[in-house]
Amino acid sequence: MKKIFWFTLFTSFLLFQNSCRPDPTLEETSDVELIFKGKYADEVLMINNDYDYDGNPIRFDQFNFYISNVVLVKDIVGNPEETELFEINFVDLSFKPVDVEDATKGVVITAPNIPVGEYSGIKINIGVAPDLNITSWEDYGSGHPLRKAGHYWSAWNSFIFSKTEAKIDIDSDGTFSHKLAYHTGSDEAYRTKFFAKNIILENGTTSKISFNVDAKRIFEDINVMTQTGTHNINDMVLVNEIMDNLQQKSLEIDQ
Amino acid sequence: MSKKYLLSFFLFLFIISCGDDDNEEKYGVMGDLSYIPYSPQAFSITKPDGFPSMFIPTDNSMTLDGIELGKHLFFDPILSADSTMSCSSCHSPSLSFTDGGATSTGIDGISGLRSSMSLLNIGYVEKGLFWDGRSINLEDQALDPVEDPIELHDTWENVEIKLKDHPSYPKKFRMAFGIEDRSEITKELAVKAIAQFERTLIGASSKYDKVIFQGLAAFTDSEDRGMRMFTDAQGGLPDAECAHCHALHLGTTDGFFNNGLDSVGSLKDFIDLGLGGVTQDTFDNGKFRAPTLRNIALTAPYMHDGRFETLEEVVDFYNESPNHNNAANIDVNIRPLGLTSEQKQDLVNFLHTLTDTTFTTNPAFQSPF
Repeated sequence: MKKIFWFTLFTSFLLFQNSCRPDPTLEETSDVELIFKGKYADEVLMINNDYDYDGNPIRFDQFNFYISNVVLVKDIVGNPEETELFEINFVDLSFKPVDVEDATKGVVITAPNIPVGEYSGIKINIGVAPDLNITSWEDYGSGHPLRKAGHYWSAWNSFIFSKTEAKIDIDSDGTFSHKLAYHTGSDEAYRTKFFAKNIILENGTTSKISFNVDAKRIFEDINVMTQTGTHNINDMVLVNEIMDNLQQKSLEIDQ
Repeated sequence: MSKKYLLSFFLFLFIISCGDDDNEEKYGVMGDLSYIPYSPQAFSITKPDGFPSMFIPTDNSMTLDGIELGKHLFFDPILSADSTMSCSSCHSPSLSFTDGGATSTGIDGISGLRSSMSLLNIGYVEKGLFWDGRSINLEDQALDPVEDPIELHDTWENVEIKLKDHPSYPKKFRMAFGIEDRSEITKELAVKAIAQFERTLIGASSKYDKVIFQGLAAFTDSEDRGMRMFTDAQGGLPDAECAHCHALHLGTTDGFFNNGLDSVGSLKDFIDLGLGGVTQDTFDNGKFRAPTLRNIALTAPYMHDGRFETLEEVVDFYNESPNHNNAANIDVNIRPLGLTSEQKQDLVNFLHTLTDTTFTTNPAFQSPF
C-alpha cells in the first residue's frame, strides 16, 4: 500500500514539474512584412501611367525583380547571426493598382513566425541565388515564385533577375516609339545589399519593413537613346550597370 | 381484406412521396448504379524532359475511367443541340486539335471571331484559357462551348438529360466518379471528365526534343541558326525576339500580348478586345494569349483570327512589324527585326523542328467512335 502511495506521489510530482516548463515548440515569434513601393522619383509608380524623363513622357510596362536569401542580421560581436526570412521571392511592381492609393500599398511579402528579438539590419540579395539559378522554371510547382516561363532565359541558362520595360515619347508626338527592354540575369548579375536598421520583433505582432524602389534611378548613367535593351549574354556590361543601379540607387529602405 | 388494400395504398403513397424532385421520380430505382463496381485506378502524368509539373486540381484527380469518360464526351456530338458537332469538330487530333479554319463555325453555321486553339499540352496552361484568358481552368473552360450560340448551342440542362437517359454514359459516370444513381450526372462531372482527358494531351517527341533532350538527332545548320535567333543566343545573329512570348521548351510563356497585329486609332478601337474584354482594362485591349509554338506547322492558319495562311507570312509580319508604334500597349519587344530572307527561312525551319506527329497519331487521342 505504501509503495502505491509513494509511486502515485512521485508520478504526480513529475507531471506537475513537466507542466511548469515552457513548451519548447512554442517559441516566441513575430510575422515580418516586407513592403516594396514602386516610385518614379517622388511620384508613386503606376504601370501605364505617364512620367517625365528629361522632358519627354515615359510609360512603364513592366518593373520587377527577384530577391533571394533575405535575412535579418543580429549584431553579435565578431559573429553576426542571420535569421532567414525566406529563400526566394518575386517583387512585381507591374501589378495593376486601382488608383494611386492602391499603388501606394505596394507589394507585400510576409515571412511568418520569425523569432523575436532585436536585429540590427536586413540583408537582401537581388536576383536568383546561384544555387537556385542552376535550376530552371520547370523544376518548380504551381505557385512557386520561380515558376515563371517568362522569367527564364534558356540561352543564358539563367533566370531573368529583373525586367524593366518602358516606352518614351521622344518627340512628344503622342507615340511612345522609343522602347526600352532591360532584362538582367546570370550569376554575375547577382547583388547583395545590407540595410542597417534597428528592428525589434515582439511576440505575436506583425512587424513591417518598407522599401522604396525608384524606377527612374535604374536609368542613371545609361544612355537610353542608344542602349535600349539587354537580352543576351553579350550585354553583360549593361546588365551589370542595370543591376548596380538597382542595388545602389533604386532600392532603398524607408527609414 | 379491405384493410390490407388500404394499408398497401398508404404504403404506396408513402413511397412515392419520398421522391423529392423530378430526377428521383423519373429515375427512381431504375437509375440505381450502385451494383456497378467502382474501383478507380489513379492516372499520373509522366513529365517529359524540360516540362514543368502539371497542376491537377485536388477535386479532380485523374483516373483511367475518368479519362475514358472524358474522351467519349470530347468526341461525342451528344454535347450539341442537333447532335452534329462535338468538341473534336473544332479540335481534331490530326490537326493538333485545331480545325484548320481561320475562325470556327458552330452548329447553326455561324462563324465566330476567333480561330480554334490547339489543345497540345493544354494542361500546362495556368494563366487563363481561350485567346482572351476568360476561363481559369480546363473544367471551367469546358462549360462554355456547350451553351455558346456560335458553337454547340445546347443547354447543359438538356445535355444532362441526354446523358442520364443514355444507354452507356451512366455506367461510365459511375466508374469515373462513383455516383450511385444516374440522377447524379451533372455538368460539373461532365467537364471534370473532359478536363481529365485534355490533361493527357501531351506532346514532347518533336525533333527539337530529340536534339535537346535525347541526343537522337541533330539540327541542320539552318535550324540551328533559327533556334539561335529565336532564343537570342550568341553567334552573331540578330535577335528575332520570339522567346519573350514563346519561351522554350513549352513554346509559350503563358502570357497575353498585343503583338501589333492591328492598326488602331486608340485602345478602344480594337474590333476584338481580347483580354481587355475580360479584364475591362483598356490597356489589355488587343492582347491575346501567346499560343504554344509546338506543332505550329500543323495548325495553320495563324493568329487569333487566322489571318495568316503560312509560317512564312507570320515571320514576314514580325520582321516588318508595321504597327510597332501604333498602340500604347504594344509589347516593347515588337519591333522591326531586319532579318534577311535566309534568316527568315532559318526561323521557319526551326519552327518545323517543333512538329510532333506522334502526338497527332497517338491512338489514345483518337475518337472512340
